[in-house]
Amino acid sequence: MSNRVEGRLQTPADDDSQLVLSCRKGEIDAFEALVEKYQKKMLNVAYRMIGDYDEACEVVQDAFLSAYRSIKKFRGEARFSTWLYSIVLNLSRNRRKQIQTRGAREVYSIDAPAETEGGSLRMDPPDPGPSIPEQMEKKEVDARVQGCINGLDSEYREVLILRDIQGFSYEEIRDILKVPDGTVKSRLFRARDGLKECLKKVLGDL
Amino acid sequence: MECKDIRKNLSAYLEGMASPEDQELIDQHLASCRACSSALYELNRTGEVLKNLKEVEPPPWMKQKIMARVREEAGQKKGILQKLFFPLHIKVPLEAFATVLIAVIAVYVFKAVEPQMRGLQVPSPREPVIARQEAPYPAKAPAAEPQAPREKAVAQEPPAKTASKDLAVAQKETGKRARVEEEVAPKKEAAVAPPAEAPKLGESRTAERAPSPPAAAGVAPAREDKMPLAEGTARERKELKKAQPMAPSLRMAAKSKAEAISFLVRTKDVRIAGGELETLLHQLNALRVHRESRENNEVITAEVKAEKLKELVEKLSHLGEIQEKDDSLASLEKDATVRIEIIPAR
Repeated sequence: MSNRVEGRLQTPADDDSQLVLSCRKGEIDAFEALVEKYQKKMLNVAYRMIGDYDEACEVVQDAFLSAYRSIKKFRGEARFSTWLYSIVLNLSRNRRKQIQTRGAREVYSIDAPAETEGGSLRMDPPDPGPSIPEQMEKKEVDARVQGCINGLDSEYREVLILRDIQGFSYEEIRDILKVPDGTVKSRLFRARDGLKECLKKVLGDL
Repeated sequence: MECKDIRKNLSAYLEGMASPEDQELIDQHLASCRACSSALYELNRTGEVLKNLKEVEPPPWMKQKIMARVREEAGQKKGILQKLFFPLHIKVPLEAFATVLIAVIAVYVFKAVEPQMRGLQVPSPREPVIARQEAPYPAKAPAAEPQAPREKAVAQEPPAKTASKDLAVAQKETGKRARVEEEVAPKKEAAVAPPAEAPKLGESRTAERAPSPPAAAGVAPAREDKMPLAEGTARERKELKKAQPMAPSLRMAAKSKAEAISFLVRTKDVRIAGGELETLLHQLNALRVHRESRENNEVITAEVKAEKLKELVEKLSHLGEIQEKDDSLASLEKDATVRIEIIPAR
C-alpha cells in the first residue's frame, strides 16, 4: 500500500514528490522548501477568499501546519499543490464564515450593497467620465474589485479566484474543489457574470 | 440561438473552450447583436481586471512563523515519543541505580549502627547482667557470697562468680573504700562501669592492682565510662570468653549439674596449709586442682567427687578453722567444684 503511494508520489507529474517524501521522513527542511514555494500563492488564494490580509496570513499559517500534520495521510491521489490549495480553501471558507458570524465585517453584495465603515456607500454610482478605472488609483480599483469578489457566494468566489486570478486549469480546479467539470464551468460563468455586474456598479463602465 | 443562450456560452467562448459549432453560432450572433458583443467586451474586461489584480506578498515573518510552529509540533511529537520511550532508556536505569544506591546506603547505615544496636541488646542476655550485678558482691565481703544465689539464674552463677572471683580477692582489701565510692557514684555509672571493670580486674589486676590505692579503683570506672557503650560491651564479652577457659572445670560442673562449694579456712600459715590442701586434694583424686598463691591468701579450686566431699570437709577442719561453707553442703550428693580460700588466722 505504502509502496503504491510512494510510487505515485514519485510520478513526474508532481514536482513536489521528492520534497513530500522527505517531509514524510521527518525532514523539516523539505517542508520549509514547500512553504517557500507555495506560501505566496496560498496567501493570495486566502486573501482573495477572505478579503483581509492579516486574516489570510493566519489562515495560511494554519493551512501549512495542518498540511504538515497530515502529510503522512497525503496519498498522492492528486498533486501536492492541489491538496495544499484545497486545505487553504477550506480553512479560508471556514474563517470567512466565522468572520461573518461575528458580524465583524461588512461585505459587498451584488444585490444589496453594504455601507463602509465611514458610512458612505462604497458602491458609488459610476462616474459619467469615459475611463474611470484609469482615473482611479490602482489600489482603489483593487479594493473595489476585492469588494465585489467578497460579495460573491463562496462557491462562485472560489472558482473565480482559482481560474481567473490564479490561472488553474479546469482539471486542477475540479481536483481542488472535488466537483465535476460541468459544475466548474457553470459556476465560473455565473461568477464572472456576477462580478461583471458588480464591477460595472463600482467602477462604472468597464 | 437567443441572446440568453449566447451569453451563457460567452464565458467558454472567451476561453476558446466552446465547441466549434457553438463558436461559429456565437460568432454569427455577435456580428449581428450589439448587446451581446458589449456583454462579451465586459466579460473580457472583467477577466482583465481580475488578472491585473495586484498580488499580495507574504510578510517576511510568515515562513519563519510557520516553520517555528512546525518545529514546535515536531518537538511535541518527539516529546510524546520521549514520554513513551524514555522510561525504557533512561528512567529504568535511573530507577535501578537509585534502588541500588538505597540498598548500599542501607547496608552502610546498618553496619554503622549495628555495634550500637548490639550494645542496646546486651542487657537482655543474662550473662553480662549477672556479671555486672555480681561483681560488686564479692567486693563487699566474702561473707556475702553465699547469698549470691539470690540472683536470678542459679545455673549461670558459677561462671559469673569465677569471672568475679579474682575481682573479689583483689578488691577485698580495697573493698570498703571502693564500695563507698560506688555508693557515691551515680547509679548509672555503677551500672555501666562494673561490667567492663570486672573482667579486666579479673584478668590482669590481680595481685598488682589489688593493693594499689583505692584512688585507682575510683579512676578506672570513670575512665571506662568514657568508652562507648558498644565497645565496652563488646570487650566485656570478649573478656568473659577469655575468662571462661580459665575455669573449664566449672563449666563442666555446671553441665553435670554439679554444685559449687566455697570454703573459707583460717589458719596460721597460709602457705603450708595451701600446700597441704593441694596434696590432700590430689589424694582425694580431685580433678583440675588449681592453686593460686597470693600475698595474704591461697585460693585453691578443684573438682571433687561426691563421695570424697565429706572427707574433704573433715580434713579441712584439721587444717584450720572453717569459717564459711555453703548451706548446700549437707545435701550434696553429686560431684562438686570446690573453692577453698585460705586466709591467715586472726
